[in-house]
Amino acid sequence: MSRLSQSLLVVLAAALAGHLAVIHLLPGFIMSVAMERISAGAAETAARQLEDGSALRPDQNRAVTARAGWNAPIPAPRADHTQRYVVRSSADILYSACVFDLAAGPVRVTAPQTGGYASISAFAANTDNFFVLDDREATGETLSVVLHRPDQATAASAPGPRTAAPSQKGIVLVRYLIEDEADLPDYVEKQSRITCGPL
Amino acid sequence: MKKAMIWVGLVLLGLAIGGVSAILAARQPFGGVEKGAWTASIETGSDKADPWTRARVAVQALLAMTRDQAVYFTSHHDSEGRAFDAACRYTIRGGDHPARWWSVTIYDDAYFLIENEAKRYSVTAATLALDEAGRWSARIAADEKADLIAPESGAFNLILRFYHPEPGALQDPTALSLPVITREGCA
Repeated sequence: MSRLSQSLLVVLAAALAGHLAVIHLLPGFIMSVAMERISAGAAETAARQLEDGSALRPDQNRAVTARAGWNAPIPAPRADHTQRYVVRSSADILYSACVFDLAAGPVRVTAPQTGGYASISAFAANTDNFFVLDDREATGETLSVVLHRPDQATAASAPGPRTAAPSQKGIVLVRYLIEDEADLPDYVEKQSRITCGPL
Repeated sequence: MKKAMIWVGLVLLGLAIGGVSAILAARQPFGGVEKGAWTASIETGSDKADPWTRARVAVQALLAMTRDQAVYFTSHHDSEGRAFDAACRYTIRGGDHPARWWSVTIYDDAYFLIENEAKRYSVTAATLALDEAGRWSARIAADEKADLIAPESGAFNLILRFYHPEPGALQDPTALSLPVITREGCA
């Protein structure tokens, strides 16, 4: 084989390897960045509130003192053009996030129902949507789920829906659909009562 | 030594080419189902998605749910296949859609919402008036009076969301009646 053919072959093989590697690594990398940015944003907000003396919610206290911003509810203001954490947000959904880490144990998420579309969805570190609970399926006034690692037996004794997470870390997203603008203040109030934290 | 460095250089070149091609591939619209102006992926959030679909969804629609919750259609061009341009005006027309709720939202080239005074970013099942035939229409243009406000210039894209799509809609997305996007004229 000529020197040129050899070189081309090497470049092609490396290109193939590079392409496959990046394609496989991209989702996990993007999720890591999202988890860091969302949790850091939450920690920053909580820390700022601590500084200026505003009362912190109990869950925000946890956010600041524990691994800041993780396993804590993060209600987002309604998306507009200034939101640049996550691409393609809907302007008709009130989002709340929780960046979970199951290292220390299971995490419970609860969200008051709104009367309209509401859901809790959980995403693994590789972006798989491994769990959803929505208002169609859930009875009662609150959506609730416990996330746990497959080996965490304590979750077995927790009441209500529970799901084993395929990765230790990930993101939970709560969605409240805003069909009628008049509902917004009520939904924002309910959003402030979303919880996410260790059992 | 020099020979080894040449090989290393070639490998690095190849890796770089491969890496860049992967990023470009991840920016291609995720598809699977194509109908008129729209492309849908029914593999969003799915653990069965192939690596390229998963990469595309990660780049373009992170945290999109699986199809029993929502189906996401994207559009980068009108119903005649011409890429969207903010210098042009478009009309989007639709009817009743097989889902509990639907919306059309407009995004810029970086996949973020587009700045405008009215903070209007979408049209939805709840906000659009239907005519006697149950049909609706909306205007897309780079002016504040439009229903969907395009950026000042350049490309933009749309997402049509169906929340709780009807089961039939999932079985054969190509049989769905989807909005038609007509280009009315360009500046």
